[in-house]
Amino acid sequence: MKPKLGPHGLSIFFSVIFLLTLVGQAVSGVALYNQQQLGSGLSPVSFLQYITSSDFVVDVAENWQSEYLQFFLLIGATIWLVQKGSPESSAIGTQGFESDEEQMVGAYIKPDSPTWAKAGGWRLAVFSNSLLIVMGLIFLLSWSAQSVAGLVQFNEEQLRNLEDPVSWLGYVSSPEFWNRTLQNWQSEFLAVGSMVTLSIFLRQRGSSESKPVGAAHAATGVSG
Amino acid sequence: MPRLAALTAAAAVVAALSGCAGPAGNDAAAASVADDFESALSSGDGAAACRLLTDNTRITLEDDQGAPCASAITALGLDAGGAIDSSRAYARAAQVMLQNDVLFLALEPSGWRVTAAGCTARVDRPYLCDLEGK
Repeated sequence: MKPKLGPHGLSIFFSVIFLLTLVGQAVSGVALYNQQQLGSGLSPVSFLQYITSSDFVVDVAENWQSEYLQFFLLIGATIWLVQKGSPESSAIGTQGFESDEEQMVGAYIKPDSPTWAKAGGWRLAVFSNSLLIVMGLIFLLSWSAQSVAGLVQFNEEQLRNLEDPVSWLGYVSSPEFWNRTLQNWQSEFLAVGSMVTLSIFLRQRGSSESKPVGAAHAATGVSG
Repeated sequence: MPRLAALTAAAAVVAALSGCAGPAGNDAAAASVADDFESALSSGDGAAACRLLTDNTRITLEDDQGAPCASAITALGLDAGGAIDSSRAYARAAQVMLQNDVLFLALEPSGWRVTAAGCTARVDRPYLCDLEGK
């Protein structure tokens, strides 16, 4: 089948639905926030005030951090761990960083290889791990953002309830912070684990996330 | 892809910063209103003190006391708060610690307004306040 959105269809599709759902989250979020404001006898806020508020940021960041953690762990774990029959796994026996020939570096570099792959030295070392590094950095930034915005939101609620605010250290060791964090992590880990295992036995014809329909259940490291 | 990821990371930082407690000016603005509130009370100007309450707190006071706010707030006999020790604002709520009192405030379109005053700390429970909205 020919691509419907050209050669960049996947990134376009996910960018568009990301923006639509982010706007949807903001619109429903400001409505919910203003319901709570009015319920407390306080004035509603504008859309702009809401999307620059700690309430919106913490809700966005806590989901982002868990998504990037999910991919960080999947990328890192698949270097060393395999799953027989899963298209998410490397072939059994190929764990590790693989040879220069398999990775097309060093003497096996190609004319169209990325500049940093050709460069060798520290740039090759960084580029060889750049996906894991960037995913990990975004995870840490998002988690940090969650902790800062969450602290502000938590303390705002504390003050509304006529209680003392807490410090950042107090917040990041609080049940509130860890409950927000872990409820996101568990769902991401379940989703990845389900994908790894269900794709052993189930197929989606045409998807690169699936093995070919006729591939054996035991076939590992094969995608359609 | 690393470029896209870097942009996303930058956006996360900007978003985080925008969600911070806000400018330090918010602490000072809340403290300034608390100071005005204390000055109004100490000079017996109930009307001026009432103008610095949130609607919710003012209505609760009038309902509880069965009197207009200006006379009801002076009848409460709140102790003089004294000098301001510290002020902390988080988003749209603030707490101002005075030598002899603790005030809670909320950010309204007209500025910071007092939600509770005459507050005493309690162990593992919210402050007990002589004046607060319901």
